Amino acid sequence: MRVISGAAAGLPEGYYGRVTHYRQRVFVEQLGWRLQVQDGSETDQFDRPDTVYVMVEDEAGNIAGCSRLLQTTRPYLLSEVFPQLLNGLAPPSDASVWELSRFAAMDFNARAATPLAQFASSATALLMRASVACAAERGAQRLITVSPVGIERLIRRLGIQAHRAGPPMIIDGHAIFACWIEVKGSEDA
Amino acid sequence: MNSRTRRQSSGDRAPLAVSPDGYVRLTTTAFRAIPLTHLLSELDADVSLPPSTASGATLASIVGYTEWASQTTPALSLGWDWRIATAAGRVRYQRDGEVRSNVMLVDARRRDLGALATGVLLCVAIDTLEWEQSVDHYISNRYACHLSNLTVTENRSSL
Repeated sequence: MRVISGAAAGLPEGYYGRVTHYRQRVFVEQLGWRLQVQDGSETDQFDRPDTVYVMVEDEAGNIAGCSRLLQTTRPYLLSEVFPQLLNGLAPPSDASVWELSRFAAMDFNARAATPLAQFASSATALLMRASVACAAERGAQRLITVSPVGIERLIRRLGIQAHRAGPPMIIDGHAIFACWIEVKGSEDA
Repeated sequence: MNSRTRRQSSGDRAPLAVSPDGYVRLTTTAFRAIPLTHLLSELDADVSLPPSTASGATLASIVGYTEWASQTTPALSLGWDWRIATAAGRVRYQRDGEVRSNVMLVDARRRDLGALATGVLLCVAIDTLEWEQSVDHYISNRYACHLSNLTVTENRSSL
């Protein structure tokens, strides 16, 4: 497996379209999230020129996971859509704090794997570590995520220092929450 | 959660607030005095349901997680994994592993006890909380149609 990361303009040709199509398959088709889809791609207002994408590609060249990184000095998912998940804390606006969102590692070529089993995959661990490392390279000291509650178990079992920002909330039938990830000390986890 | 009769220090009476790092800091005594309410519980989704023609259930292991919160502002949030274990002919829920939370316990001088010590103390506190009945009630209602005819595998993923 290999990791590909960068802003849309810096990705290899065709990879931005592949990652947004992959997101449509995972989040809309598989997980049933109500997200904006156009021409088979899932994108929103946070997919901007400065947005950083992290992808894991398997040996056959298939995308096996993706995530999205946004610096919190500009609008981001948590600040604009889910600030209530911060338990009363003002959304951070800090160059050293980045948001991790649209994190998924689902191998559509794996046989009969459940979503939970997918989370245990090596692609998931690689993607999480690569996302932390990619953010660290850009000056992040902490990450804040908006994720399904299960992601907290994954993060902590990978040895990454993390704690929740507040209670989960049911939004569109899904239990989601915000979680803080400490970049320092987690890069070597 | 039941409070214990204990002399309170000024640290125990400090108002709750979210720190910039996202933690809610309070003493162990103050934490134990705050009731927690069940929010939701889920079975882990990697259970294998038997074919509809199956008769009777083979129960190997049922696992899941539960989420609890205080009614305070800001809220304390705690979640942990559980499994249903059978011992001496009785079926009971058991906490399985660490407690995940937004709580950082502090000493009387408001110094952090640290994530590790806080985790241990939260586990101790949770194990004195009578959470099993709430989880069982919630799970039984939510999954009633499945639990009556359920085969669960031992294969547990890391999510």
